[in-house]
Amino acid sequence: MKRLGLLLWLGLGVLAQPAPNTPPPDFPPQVFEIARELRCPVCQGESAAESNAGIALEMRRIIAEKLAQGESPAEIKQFFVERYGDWILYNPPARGATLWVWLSPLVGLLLLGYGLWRYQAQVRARAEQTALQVPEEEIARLEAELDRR
Amino acid sequence: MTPGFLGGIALVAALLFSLLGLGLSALAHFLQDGRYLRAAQRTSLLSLLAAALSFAALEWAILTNDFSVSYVANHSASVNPLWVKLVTPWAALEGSILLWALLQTLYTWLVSLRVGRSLDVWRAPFALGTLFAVQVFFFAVMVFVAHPFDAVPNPPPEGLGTNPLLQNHWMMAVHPVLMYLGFVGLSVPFAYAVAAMLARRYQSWIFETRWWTLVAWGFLTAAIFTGKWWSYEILGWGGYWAWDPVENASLIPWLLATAFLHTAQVQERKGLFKGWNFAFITLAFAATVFGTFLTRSGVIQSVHAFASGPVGAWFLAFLLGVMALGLGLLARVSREIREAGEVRWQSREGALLAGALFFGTFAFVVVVGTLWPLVVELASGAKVSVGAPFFNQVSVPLGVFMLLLMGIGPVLPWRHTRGEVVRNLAAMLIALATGFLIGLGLGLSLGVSLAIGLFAYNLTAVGLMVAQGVRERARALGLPPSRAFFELAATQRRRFGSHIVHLGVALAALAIAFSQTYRYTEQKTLQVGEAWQTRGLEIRLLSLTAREEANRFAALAPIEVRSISRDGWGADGRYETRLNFYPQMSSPLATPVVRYSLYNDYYFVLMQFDQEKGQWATLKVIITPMVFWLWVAGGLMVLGTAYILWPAGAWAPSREAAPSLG
Repeated sequence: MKRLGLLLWLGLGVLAQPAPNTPPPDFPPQVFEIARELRCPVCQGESAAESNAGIALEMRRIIAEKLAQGESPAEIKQFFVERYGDWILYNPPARGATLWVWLSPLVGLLLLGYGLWRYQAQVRARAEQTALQVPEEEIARLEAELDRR
Repeated sequence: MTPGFLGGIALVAALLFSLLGLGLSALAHFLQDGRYLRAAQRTSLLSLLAAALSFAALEWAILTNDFSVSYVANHSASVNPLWVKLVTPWAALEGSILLWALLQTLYTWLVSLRVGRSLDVWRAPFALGTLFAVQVFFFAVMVFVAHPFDAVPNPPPEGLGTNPLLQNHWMMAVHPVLMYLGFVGLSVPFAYAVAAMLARRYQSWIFETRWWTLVAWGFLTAAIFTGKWWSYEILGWGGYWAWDPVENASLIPWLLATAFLHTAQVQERKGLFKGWNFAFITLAFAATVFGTFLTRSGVIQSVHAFASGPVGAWFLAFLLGVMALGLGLLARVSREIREAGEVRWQSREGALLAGALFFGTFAFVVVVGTLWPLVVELASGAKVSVGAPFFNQVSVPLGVFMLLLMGIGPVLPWRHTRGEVVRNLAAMLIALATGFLIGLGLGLSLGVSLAIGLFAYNLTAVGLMVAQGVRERARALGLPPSRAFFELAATQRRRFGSHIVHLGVALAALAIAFSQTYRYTEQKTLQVGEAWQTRGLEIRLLSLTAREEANRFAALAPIEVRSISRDGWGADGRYETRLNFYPQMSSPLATPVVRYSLYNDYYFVLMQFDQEKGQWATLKVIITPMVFWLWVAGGLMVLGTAYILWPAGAWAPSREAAPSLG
């Protein structure tokens, strides 16, 4: 085991922040379920469940602790919101500035649907216009030809 | 000659050839002289050769550890294994733009071979000109802002090394190439669309670009699935899709290209939606540029932003240029475009259009969700996050609608509905209800039960359609059904291929529903020799050792897993979990061990370990059902696409059912 310690010391020597050498607590599945909805504050777009960064480990530890104390997932998320603001939530609240994100499927459908309806209306109008452009005598001639059959 | 010098010269040559090609295309149009067109064709080959030479020079510099070349000094190291060196050209920004440009020249050359065949001489100058203009952009970016061959005055003895995330899995050799083949592939239908609008022939381009669009779509699909797989096997989080901006950047063009493929069919058959198809293909191609802008400009944070640099503004300008060209031309010609009729909603074209509507909406939601944090921050300075939980929720209703339409659409005939359709639909709905009830009966969640129902519904739809075709053919030609089936499969590649793709989509939806709902993650610290029982598994930590490897340093924690009940079926074995330490990374990189099985995937990650005495290690266990079938689904989708393309109709333009050519 001495060799392991030496090699690790060599390997970790260049690292900015060596990991603590106490065993982390055990995390039940609920910890990861809650952490998956929270942003890791220092990572590039990873959740607190996925990241290996120190702060994400710490967040998971806090979640585990609070779960053990009997707090509900909503209370735990609220704790992080109080510290970091709504920004920490990957599920944006359906109010204020982020309400629009929730409405985006409806807005998209309405916009595209409206565009499609306008398009169809134009196609129809143009088809009618083309029909009206046929001169009277032409129609009369065609009708006469059809009558002859 | 040094590789750096050669590469730089070749880049400039490629830029000049692209400009020349653009100029020759313009001359061919204005002077109406075929000689200029032929010269432009030849120029496309020259630009391909120049780009290939430049790429080869970069590879040469990497293989010979020439650290006087900036790209090699910054993104390679002499200790890298050979395969890593071979894929290092696309491990960072400048090199990946070079690969993109190389593939662009390849596509341009392939298109130039079609001049006089499926690309008539009237439109060829416009189509080639558009592709040359795209080439000019990429080579100009490399020559002026993201030059891979900058000389390093005092070459370091050793490079900074390649991004470890890319070194950790062989899939990185494949995925980016597929992605760029897909992205670049969309430039071809875009060029055909521009040519169609400039030449004022609005119908026939859709037949001529069908093959190209399917090729691009197939590559994009393959790229998305290989990306998922890479993410699953490497990032150590047990998931395959995080709705990260970079992932979204690949999904948006895929969604828009899918919408285009569907409405293009309506135009082929019925001469409808000509204007919409111009808009969709413009947006699909613009989305590839948009994605690159998003992820290379630094405006958005992403876990996959492997490469960023000063190219953001250039890509933004290019994006605006593409949109202005496509949509501007459409605005100019839209009054002239004559549709061949009107849509009836209860018919195939109605279902295809509704599908395109949902794909378009989905793309819109992904764009808004990805950009919203940026918009809010610019508008009010507040920071918000929009992430996976949000996208997962909104994609459920959209996905359900799409799966419903996917089943109905092909069952509906073009134009008018018939009695048979009602019977088929009844059978499909019965399958849907049965699957749903079986799911509920097994105690599965509402969403997963619905997914089972929808899978059964789509399976029934495909089964009914194949059976109907076989029955008709067998009766008409007096063949035995098996023979009729094989003949049908051989002659109606397009229809059969799309059945295969649709089955793949339905299977993917099922796999996603299961794996998202029932993913199970747990973490525990074990002493060496200790065993841990969870979820039908017994996991024993065997030892803890360290090892020095060529370009990294690894901590190894081998484990032995035994299944002790039905839950843990298929997990048995000895696995080596490890943490890799790379000198260029501040935190260790976990390499997950994945044990695949037809039902559950067992995923073991070494999280932390005793660095002093080597007595304990912390393991994370992730158990996810049905992930295996997601890879099968991706394979089916790509195979289905290949089936349509191979080999009949590969080059021959489809002339069937052209309502109004021209």
